[in-house]
Amino acid sequence: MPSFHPDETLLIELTAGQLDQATALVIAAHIEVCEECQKKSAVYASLAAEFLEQSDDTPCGEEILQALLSKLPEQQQNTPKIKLMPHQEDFYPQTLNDFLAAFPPQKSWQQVGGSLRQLPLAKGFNGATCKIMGVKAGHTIPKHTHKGDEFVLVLQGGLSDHRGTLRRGDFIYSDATVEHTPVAEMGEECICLVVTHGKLKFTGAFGRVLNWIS
Amino acid sequence: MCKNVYETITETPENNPALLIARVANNQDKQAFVILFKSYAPKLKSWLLKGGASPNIAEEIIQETFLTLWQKAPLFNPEKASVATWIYTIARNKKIDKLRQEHYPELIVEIASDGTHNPDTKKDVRKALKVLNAEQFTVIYKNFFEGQTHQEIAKQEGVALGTVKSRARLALKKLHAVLDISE
Repeated sequence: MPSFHPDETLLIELTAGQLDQATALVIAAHIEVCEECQKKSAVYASLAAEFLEQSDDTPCGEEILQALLSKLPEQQQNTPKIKLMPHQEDFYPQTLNDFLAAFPPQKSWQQVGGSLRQLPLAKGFNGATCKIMGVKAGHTIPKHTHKGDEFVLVLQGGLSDHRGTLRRGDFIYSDATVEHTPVAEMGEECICLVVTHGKLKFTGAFGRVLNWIS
Repeated sequence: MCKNVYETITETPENNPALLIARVANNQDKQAFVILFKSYAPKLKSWLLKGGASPNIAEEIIQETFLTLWQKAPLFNPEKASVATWIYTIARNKKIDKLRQEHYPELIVEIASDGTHNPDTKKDVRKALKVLNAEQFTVIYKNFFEGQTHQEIAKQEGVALGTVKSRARLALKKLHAVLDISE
């Protein structure tokens, strides 16, 4: 059970359809592995559904229904895919694997310095970008701040900073006021789903080089 | 074939939407499908028009929503969500797809089947909404259902952003208390 959760505003924005696709992906992936946030989002979705049920009716043309009936396919979707597609992993939340299937990454994994690798995924309409990031076990991400909001969901391994240790399913939010030097736990590579609004700004000794290559 | 399906419809309010989905899933029952369309499509249309879609685009989104409902009916699980919730979620994603060309994830929900928590009942949600005053209700309605941001609501209602935020906070607090979820 995760111990770091998204703010409930993010859960509501997800329900109301206000998030960009990159942020929606990371929140939905957390919800999938977090029973507590599932319960909350279920409530928010039922509120929206209740409003829908109480809505006025605006008639739809009969031709819409007829057109639909004439093109209903014979086959219904029933069997989930089992074989993993390129870049999918069995430990990823299904939400992420579904996204990877619908939108195969345009680029392959990129090495960033000696400790980091990243796989860029999608951009949101508001400039948010989403990527899968790997930090080698025991390695440190140099000290940095954030130009805009950053959301991190840990998928494997652990990542620590002054706020605590994040493990699988934990979600954390950082903004421009947070300066940190996250360290991956020993044992296995820490894999995260990361959404950034604006780039990281490295502040340590090697910062300038990393700002240039990341 | 279509004509027969359409003409044999009898609309009974007792029709249980979850059973209708089951009929679509198990028997590819077009009559059940038509009843679902007739109950939800006009509501979806009101919602889409409020959200700024043109009538044509609204109808396209409705068609895509019901096509997905037909195809995914076997995946619907009444223990995880009500039919209205399921339809709302499909339609919301189709709307985002259409209006913003963005892909919204489907929520994968695996709520523990211990029966301790089943918030997705109309009764609970209605009871919860009753405790809100008019101003709080408006904020929740516009935020959750019309998809408006607090900023947009503040502008419409002619009040400060802070006022909207505190109304939303109080409303959520009340909803959480009635629906028994932690903050």
